Amino acid sequence: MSGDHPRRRNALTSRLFVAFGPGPGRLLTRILLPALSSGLVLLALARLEGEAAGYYATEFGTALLVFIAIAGVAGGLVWAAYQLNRAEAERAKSEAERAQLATIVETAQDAIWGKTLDGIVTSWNPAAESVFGYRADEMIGTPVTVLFPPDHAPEEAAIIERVARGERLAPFESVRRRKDGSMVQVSVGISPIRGVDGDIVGVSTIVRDISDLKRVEDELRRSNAELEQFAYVASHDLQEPLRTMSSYVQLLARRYRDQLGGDAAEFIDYTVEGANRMQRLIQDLLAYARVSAKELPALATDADAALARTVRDLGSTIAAANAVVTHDALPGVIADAGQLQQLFTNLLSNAIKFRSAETPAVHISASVSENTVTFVVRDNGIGIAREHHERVFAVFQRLHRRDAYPGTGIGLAIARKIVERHGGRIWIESEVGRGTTFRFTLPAALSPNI
Amino acid sequence: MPIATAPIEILIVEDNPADVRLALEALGETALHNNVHVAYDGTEALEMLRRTGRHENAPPIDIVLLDLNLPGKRGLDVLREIKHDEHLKRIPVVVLTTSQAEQDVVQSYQLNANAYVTKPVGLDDYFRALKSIETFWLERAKLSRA
Repeated sequence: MSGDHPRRRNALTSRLFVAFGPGPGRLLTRILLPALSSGLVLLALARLEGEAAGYYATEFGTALLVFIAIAGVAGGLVWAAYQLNRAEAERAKSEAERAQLATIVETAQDAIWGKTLDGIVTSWNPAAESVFGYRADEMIGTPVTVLFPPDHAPEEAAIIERVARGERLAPFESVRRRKDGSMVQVSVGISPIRGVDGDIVGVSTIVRDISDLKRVEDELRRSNAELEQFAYVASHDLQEPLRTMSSYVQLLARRYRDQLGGDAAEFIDYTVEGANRMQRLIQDLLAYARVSAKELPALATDADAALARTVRDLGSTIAAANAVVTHDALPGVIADAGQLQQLFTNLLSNAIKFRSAETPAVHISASVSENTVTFVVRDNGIGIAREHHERVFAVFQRLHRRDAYPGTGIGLAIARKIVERHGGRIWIESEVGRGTTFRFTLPAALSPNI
Repeated sequence: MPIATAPIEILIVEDNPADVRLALEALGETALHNNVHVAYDGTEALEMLRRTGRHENAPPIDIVLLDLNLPGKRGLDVLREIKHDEHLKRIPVVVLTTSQAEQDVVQSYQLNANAYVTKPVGLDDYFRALKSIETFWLERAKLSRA
């Protein structure tokens, strides 16, 4: 029995603590209670003083005292009720906000869970259930390390250590293990959870299943590697027999010209020319294939600088044709600098090659609208008939005789591939004899002058 | 034996007989006193350079013309072995190949190739290329002979 007493007193003390502690009840215990008590003492004093001074009869004084006391208590109750209702409304509002946040977490596509600083899972959303195969009731209360494959186990301690310092971890890629033991490629973002007083009370983890993304990336990498392999084969193995053929036919000519018949020299020339042409085709096909093999950086590129390099590199071609190349100021674009230069090179050399009797003049300008730059390359050359406007962009398509305009017909195909790879498009405005205007679009760099 | 009168020993590492013959034709047209040796794969080339196995009595090689596209041991592996061999690394190695691939050029120089020459398609150009190799390495440059 002797043990009961302190426990009961403890219970009473702890209830008093709650009554005087934080919460809406504090209004009553800390404000209303002292206000009422001191009000009653003041009333009693006023009554005694009033009686002694003979302001009123005893009966009237009693009635007045009771009336004022009741009015005071009633007023206090109304005020307390107001405060209590207001606290309740605030609680309901934050409850609704909590419910809304809970719905977002429940319906999120990403796996989201909370855990203590000891790594024990405290919440587990449905997306987490479907990504990892563990139900919420299995995971809550379980160490999160069950999700870590052995070689990633040390990650957890490092994560907790950084989060405990208040750090947020930017999404990083890792591997986690499902309930069935299979691995899942994930992107993980981690933030500390802070309590009302700002202390870190837990850890929030948001995990995205990036297996599909990874698979696509791997496929792309593999196909690029295959393309590189093809390109390598083409640059070596395909060209070697050509070179052998061409060399020996020439050696034949050099050594036995006199003993061969009259047509021999012509036949030999055709053979050599065929081999040379084949080699150019292989090299051009390679250049075409390489456009998409190169990874695109999302970098702002100065189109002015790319054009300046192009004009410099084409210097001898421009000079030989007496061509005049002019341009307006060009804006920055999101493009690979090398490919942008190749694009300008192909369009400029095209404009100069297909010149008319006039002095070749090429003008390059650009306009920006929203996030797109439209470039305009205008020449005064021979022009392209409307029915060929699409065809000129196809691989190895040519509109003119070889002896008039040499070339394999790859230039505009490469130009289109470069533009389309950057998410733009390219088209022609032209008529025979009236010059040609190429227009192409590229994504604008964020700052107009980079 | 004074250097001026000693014949120059050239090793061609090349698996395509047509190319070997073409190189011999080109080198045969020069006035230089040279002996041309041919290795048809990388292993044979290293044996000839090290004068081991069947090639114990081979003369010391002054310059190597190396094709990259070889059966078995790749041309770049041969180059690496030559340039890592204390006794062989002084020998100039000219990579003479059809490949125009940037990766081959870069890797060859990283492995300390002395020059990288792409075999030209035209016969005259090819002859000129081989002659310029010969003129530079065998006439202009002073070789260190073992």
